[in-house]
Parts: sequence; C-alpha cells; structure tokens
Amino acid sequence: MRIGLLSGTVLAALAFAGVAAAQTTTGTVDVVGTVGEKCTVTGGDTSTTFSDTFDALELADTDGTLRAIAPFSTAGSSWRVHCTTIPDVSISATSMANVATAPSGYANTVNYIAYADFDVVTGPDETISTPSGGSSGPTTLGSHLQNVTDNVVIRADTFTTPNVGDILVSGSYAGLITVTITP
Amino acid sequence: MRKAAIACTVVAALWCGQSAAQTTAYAPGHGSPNSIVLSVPVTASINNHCGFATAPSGTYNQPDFDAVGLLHDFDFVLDCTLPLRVGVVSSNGGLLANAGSLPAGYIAFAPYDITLNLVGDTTSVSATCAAATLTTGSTCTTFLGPATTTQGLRLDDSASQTSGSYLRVSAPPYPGPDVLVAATYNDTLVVTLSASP
Amino acid sequence: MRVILGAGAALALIGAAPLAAAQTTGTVDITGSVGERCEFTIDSGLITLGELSGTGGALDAAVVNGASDTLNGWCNGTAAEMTVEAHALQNITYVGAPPAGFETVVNFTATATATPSGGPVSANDSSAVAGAGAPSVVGVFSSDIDVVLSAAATPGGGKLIAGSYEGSVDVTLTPSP
Repeated sequence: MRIGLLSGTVLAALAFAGVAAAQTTTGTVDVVGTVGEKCTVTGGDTSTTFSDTFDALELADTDGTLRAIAPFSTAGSSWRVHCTTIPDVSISATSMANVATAPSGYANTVNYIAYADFDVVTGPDETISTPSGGSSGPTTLGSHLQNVTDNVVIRADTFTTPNVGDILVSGSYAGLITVTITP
Repeated sequence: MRKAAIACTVVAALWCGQSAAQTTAYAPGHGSPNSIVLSVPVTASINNHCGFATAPSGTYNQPDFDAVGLLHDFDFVLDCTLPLRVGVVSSNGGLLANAGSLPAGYIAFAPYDITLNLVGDTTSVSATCAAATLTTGSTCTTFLGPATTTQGLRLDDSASQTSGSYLRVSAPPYPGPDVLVAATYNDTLVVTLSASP
Repeated sequence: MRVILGAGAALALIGAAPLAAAQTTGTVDITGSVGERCEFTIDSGLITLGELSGTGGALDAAVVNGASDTLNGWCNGTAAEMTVEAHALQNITYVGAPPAGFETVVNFTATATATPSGGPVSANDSSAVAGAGAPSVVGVFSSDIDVVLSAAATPGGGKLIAGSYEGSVDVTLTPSP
C-alpha cells in the first residue's frame, strides 16, 4: 500500500502568544510624619535648658544695710524658645539666702520679685511674676511665642530685707529663679 | 491510470507546486523504507514586557520627624526586557499639614529629598531630587513623572526581577528657622515606569 | 495593594523612639555677697576730767575712775573682734622728766563694752602696758560701746605737776582678724 507523503517542510507556525497578563507600571507610596507637642530652645545651654547668672556683688551699703540694687534683666540674650504649640508657663523664685544665722536687727535673706516676659505673636508681651519664696502658674499663653531670639526674658527687681534697716550678715547669698515652659 | 493522473493533478495543485521529492513508505516485507519521519518545526516568540514585579507601596510614618528627621526605603522590583524609565510625582512637594492660618515664624510644611535607585541586570543608576521639584510640571527633570519613553530616570539595561531598587525619602532634623507646628504631615508619591528602548 | 506600616514596624530610622513631650526650663542664679565689716556710727567722744589732783597735790583717782563715754558701732561677721588701747594722761605743758616726788603721767585702765545679742562683751587695756590689750570676740552686733576708765594711778604716787593733761582710748573693731 502506498502512502504518499510529502516530505517537505511543513511549517506549522504555532504562535505562542506572550504572557498577555497586564503588568503593573504604577506604584504609590505615602509618606506620613508627625510633629508632637514640644518646646525646645536654641542658643541655650542644651536643647531644653537655658540659664543666666546675675551677680549683685556687694549687697551691703556703707551702713551695713541692703544697698539699692538695680533691676536685673536677661534681655538681649541669645536664647530662642520655640514650641510647636501654645505653651503653659510658670515661674518660681527662692530668696537670696545666707547660711549664717541672723540675730535680731540682722538679716540673712534678701527678697525680690521675679518676672518672666513672653514675646507672643498676638498682642503685647505676656508677663508672669512671683515674689521670691513663691511661684506662679502654670498659665497658658494667649498665643504662640514669637519665633525670634530673646523671646523669653527673666527679670528681678525690688530687692529688700525682711525688715527695713536690717543689717546684712556677712557671707554669700544665693537665690534661684526657675521658668518652665511646657507644651 | 487516469484516475491516478487526475489525482496527481489535483494533488499537484496542492502539492506538486512544491518542489519537494516524494517518499514512499512500504509495509514491512513489501519494500523500504517502512516509516517516514516528518519533521514539523515549531517556533514561537515572546513579546517584550516592562513593569514592576513588585511595585513600590506602603506608608512610612515617622513620629517627631522635626527632631529626628526622615529616612526610609520603599523597595521595589523591576521586570523589564528593555531599557526603562521611572518617574515620580509628589502630590504636596514635601510634608504638608492642614493647620490653618499660622502666625509669622511658624510653618506647616517640611521639605525632604527623594532618591531613586534602579538596579538592572548588569548596571544600576541613581539620582536624587527634592520633593518640591517633583510636583506636577516642576523642575527636577531627572525623574519627574509620569514616566514615558523620554521622561524619567533611565536605566539603560534590562531588569530581570533583580533586587535592590528602591525609592528613598530622607531629610535631616528640621533646621528652622521657622517652627513646625504640632500636627500630622503627609505627602503621596506616585511612581510610574515606562519602557524606553 | 497598600500595606500600612505603623511606627512600630522595622523602619530605617534616624534616632530613637518617639520623643516624650519636652518642656523647656530657664533658670537664673542670683548671687551676691556681703563682706565682713565693722563700722562706728559714733566714732569719737570726749571725756573731760577736770581737776585731776586732790588735796596734797597727788592724783585724785576718783576723778578718773568711772569716767565714761559712749560710742556706737556694728560688725556683721561672726569673727569680729574688739580691742582697746589706753594712752595715759600726759602733761602736755611741762616738758621733760618730772623732779623727784612729782608726776606728769596718769595711767588708767580703759574698758570698752559692746552688747551683741548673746550678752555684753568687753575688752580692756592698761595705759601702763605698751600696746593694745587682748582682743575680745564680739561677733555680729550693733550696739552702743561704753568706754569706762578705771584703776587710775601715777607711776610714783607723787604730786601732779600743774598743766594740761591729755590721754586717749582707742577702741578698734576688726571684722576679720
């Protein structure tokens, strides 16, 4: 039985279609960040503290009583306090004290009034104050701190002995004003 | 015989036009050969393709970025048989918060940089643009999206799902002088890819 | 497909975990000092004795003994001291050594007494002994300082030569010896 077959090339062009599934050509990413409520200081001692010293030197007049001490202010400082929100502020002050005892007619303490002035964006500066031996606040400022150098100023004035005419016991006197700014 | 001739003619129309020789196979014992091998070549082609095997995606959330900065890589994988381009578009041009009106010295927008690193089969390419220059129609033409055959960062190589490609967002702690207000900030980056033969 | 990565996932971060709300504190140290000082608010007096001799021309000690004057001063340091130096009454009219049996010098003891809060403190000196007397610690005080003369005597017990006699008492307050 003959079976005639063509031995020629029979092209069977089988076209395999490529992977026709659609490819992703777009991606989307979200970048999110938060800024928490915080207060920091630039130009201070650390990122959260700043300080100054007022040395009144010789406190006694020629008659041994307290001399007239001029008011002290940190105005012109290099520090800039910045808060990401409107902060609460408070102040406390300790009297200038000498460890030596003071007999009657003498004083081993010098009192004063301490102030903190805050330069705010709306309206005039806001001030909190306390006599030494006390504190004031926390108080919420009415608006943000101005974002400028020297936006917090600490002052002291009205230096007095407990009784007018007290003679000051000799020695060193030291007091401390603390201003706290809380977000 | 006539039948055969007709058949041949018919056949000729179909077959005889082709100048191939005929081969006859015989039943065993009746001649040789007993079989004929007919080769049927089979060929195929695979089309070029280009896309992300794994596209960049996800959310990077950095608390207190004003103090600690930003740094994160969004990894992705390229799958492209041709040179390609990748483009990026930033919706906000930086991290933006909806904080309303702000007093002088305060701000609700923070800049950051975007680095695009593309890894191919034999080469890689990298470039950086500020997010502010990647908003629609902006100026960082190095890889401002959307990607086309002529726009975007070009990888002159194929990329057979090689790892190592990333989109990096980075920024140092916010240097000021303005103060960033307490809020949540965000931006969205759309990354597109196009073949660029 | 979006995958949300929270802050707790392993992200490549700069720095540490989220910061606690940081407050800022400013402090001002106020310092001063008071030096140790003493001061006389009444720093001089005058004791006028008048006629020094009694019948027979010798010293009438009663004229001198008990004579007094009052100064006033203060010291603000606990180590303050008071000393006294008595200078004898000397005849300023007569020049030269007196003849035998006669005197031109009247010695005495001067005692100064201050009154700090803890009670009176005295220092004294005899004009017959050169230099100041021993110091006494008065400490912190502000009071009158009474100066009283006593133990008046001439070196030889003889007659006082006529003339004007002058002496003095120095009271010294030293804040910090």
